Amino acid sequence: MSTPWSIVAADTLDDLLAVMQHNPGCRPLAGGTDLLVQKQLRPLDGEPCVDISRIPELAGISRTSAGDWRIGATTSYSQILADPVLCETFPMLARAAGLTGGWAIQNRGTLGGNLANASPAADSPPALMCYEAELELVGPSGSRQMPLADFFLDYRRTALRPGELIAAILMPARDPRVWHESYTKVGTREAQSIAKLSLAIALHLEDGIVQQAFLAGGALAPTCVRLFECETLLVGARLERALIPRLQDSLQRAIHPIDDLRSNEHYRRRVASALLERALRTAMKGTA
Amino acid sequence: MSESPIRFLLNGQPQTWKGDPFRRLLDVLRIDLGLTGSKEGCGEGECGACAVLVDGTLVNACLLPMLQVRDRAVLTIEGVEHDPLGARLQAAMAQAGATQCGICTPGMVIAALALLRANPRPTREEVRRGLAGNLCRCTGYMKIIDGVIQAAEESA
Repeated sequence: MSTPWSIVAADTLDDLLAVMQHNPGCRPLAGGTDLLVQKQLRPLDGEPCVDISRIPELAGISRTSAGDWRIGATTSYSQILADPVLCETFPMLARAAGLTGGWAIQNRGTLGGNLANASPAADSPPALMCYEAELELVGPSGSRQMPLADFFLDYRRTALRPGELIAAILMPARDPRVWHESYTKVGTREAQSIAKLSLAIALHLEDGIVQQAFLAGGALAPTCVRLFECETLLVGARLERALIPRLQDSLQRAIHPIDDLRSNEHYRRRVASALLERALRTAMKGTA
Repeated sequence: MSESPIRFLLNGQPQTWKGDPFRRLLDVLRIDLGLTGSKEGCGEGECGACAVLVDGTLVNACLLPMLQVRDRAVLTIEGVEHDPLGARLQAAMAQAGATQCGICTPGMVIAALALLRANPRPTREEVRRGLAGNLCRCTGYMKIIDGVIQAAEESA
């Protein structure tokens, strides 16, 4: 029994909420770089979709009076890359955006879509986790906010309730100058490839002592994974080479990589440890 | 789902199209409108053979439902010769020998046009990055890049 794919337009947030209330299983569609691929792969297994790409409340990059950031869910990677202050403040997000697909994909793919699609190999979550991103969710019962760290529940399963969607990604103001950051994506080629694994690390150091640490990995578990134990080991410690094996052990305990079409567990474990070491050595050089 | 007509500009000409709003722009171009210059290489946005410009922005037509084309201006490879920079690009790429089988060529020209409009004097590295979403199985890319650089130099 085949079900056709269907789509309606919503040009305002009110229209959209009415559509989602009437049909909570409706899939929001913005750039379509994941959804249209699914439609192509399962043409007979259709889902009702709603075009949200022209809704003003879901678009745009803005700052609060406190300097915190709000990125509308339908903001594309290209729009992110075109904002110099945003890129300077959140360099790992800029790097992730520039490594997603190619130019045509970056013009269409959106930050909200990347998160809602919830692939464990998604490019933006490891960076966003290190920036303590929160999500503004809207649905029929109103809006709520939640940390990104709580958003991914399991493989391609998010905390979105029926009829709910991501309205914006929120990030607190920060001074990038006091942070050592690195974002690495390992893929088959430099563009148009999905991550075999990725690692984002942000360290705030003062006189060689770690004040704050954020680490997150992609394609290393059923969801993007924050490396909380590594962070705990790092905070308050002097960043030195002797610390690296302990951190690598902690990393190996925290990740659950699998064999799949893009890579295998062994490679992912080996390379994740290597990326962690490389990032830490670079941060140590910066403080020498 | 009622099928309201979708109005858009196509290579400068107003168009009105009726049909399934989820139909891909690529299929409307190739099948409904007979504009077979845009190619389907993958249907997944990985190869760039279907690249068109929508309001001047490079997009893959295989990932664009017609509903999202409403009120937009679409430029396909068929319209490129009427754009002065586009025509120079086509001539330069032909001169450079940038085409073997030709299936990637329309997408390459569209992507290169978008690149040169955004960055009139790109380095070779910038050309590579701009064309990173366009795959070629024949040429090894060198002559494609040569052609784009040549067009940029002629347009300086």
